[in-house]
Amino acid sequence: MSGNWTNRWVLILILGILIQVIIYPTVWIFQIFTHEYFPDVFLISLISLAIQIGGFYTIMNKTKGMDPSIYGQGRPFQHKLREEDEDVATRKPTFD
Amino acid sequence: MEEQTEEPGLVMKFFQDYRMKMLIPELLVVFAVWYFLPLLDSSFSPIAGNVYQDFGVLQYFFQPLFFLPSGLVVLASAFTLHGIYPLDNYHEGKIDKLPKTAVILIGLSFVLLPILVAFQMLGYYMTEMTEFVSRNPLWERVESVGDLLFYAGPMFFVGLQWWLLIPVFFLSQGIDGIHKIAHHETSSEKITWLFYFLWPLSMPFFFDSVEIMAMVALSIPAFAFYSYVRPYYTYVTSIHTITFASLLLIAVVLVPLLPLMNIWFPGFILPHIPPRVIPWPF
Repeated sequence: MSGNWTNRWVLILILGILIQVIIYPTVWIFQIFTHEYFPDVFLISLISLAIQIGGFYTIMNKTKGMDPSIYGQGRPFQHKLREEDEDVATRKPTFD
Repeated sequence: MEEQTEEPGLVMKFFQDYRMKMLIPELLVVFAVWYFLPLLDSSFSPIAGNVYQDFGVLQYFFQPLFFLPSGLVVLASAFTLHGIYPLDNYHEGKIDKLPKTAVILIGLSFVLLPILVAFQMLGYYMTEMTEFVSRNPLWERVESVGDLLFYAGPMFFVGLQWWLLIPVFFLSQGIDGIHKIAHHETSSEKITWLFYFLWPLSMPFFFDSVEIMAMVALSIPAFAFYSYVRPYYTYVTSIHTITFASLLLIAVVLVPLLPLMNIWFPGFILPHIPPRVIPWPF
């Protein structure tokens, strides 16, 4: 259970979100940037953070109790063109 | 139990066959072109002005219907060029007959903006080269440039923002590269990762801090979405999030120096902030 929260990829993701949580408000409070469109970009960054935090909880909820190796697994169907395909691909785009 | 086959309705089937969901990135590029229009000529707007008016006789090759506003023509071609998706399925052998509607739509696109659509078609065929020739790091890079021509084409051939060519080259390598990695579709993960990291590395050379902040804020959730739907992509999201969060940190530290290109080649990055159309209400 707690193994999921100490997984390397999960910790890196938390760190990445944390850096943004600190920087976006900092540049606004200390007015580090001046730009005609700064208010727009700042608004976008807040929405972006909300999506990322919500998405992070979605990931943790979906993988609750699962083997932490799921986070680094990648697409499991290596030899299919699209996930909905029944058969493995006979032509190239996926690799040998 | 009787097997239920869900046949989509006519409209839904059209949306699926013609991959209308791809309108999301395509319309974003059209809006970006609209955003830059007033910089080309202060009288231009999405519904007024032919961007090729100063091209002399060449303008009739770029836009034969010269009397129509280029902003609307490029919007229309974003829809009509969706004929390419059934064409793609036909090339891949997924459907036996080439649908007539697709051919008409592609033909219509050529009538609207011949030069742009020619380069978009070239881009489409470039993305197919990994299948038709061979999948190796070189052809994979060509595939990404094909994406640049197909999806970002309007930015150059209608918006005429050629100063963006180098950064968009790295952007297309990065975006296409990280998809290839996540989908196990690359012949060399190492080289593909290298080209992915060139994208954030190249940004401080061409953009100022606010533009980089916008790219960070937009691109992280855009990629992360895959892992919200399927958590087995989490490692790709983690790498992209930490990379672009670090880029943001660098953008904050380097504020007065950005974009770096203008230090070494003054005026390399032209002024490109269009006037605000709708002012903030406060």
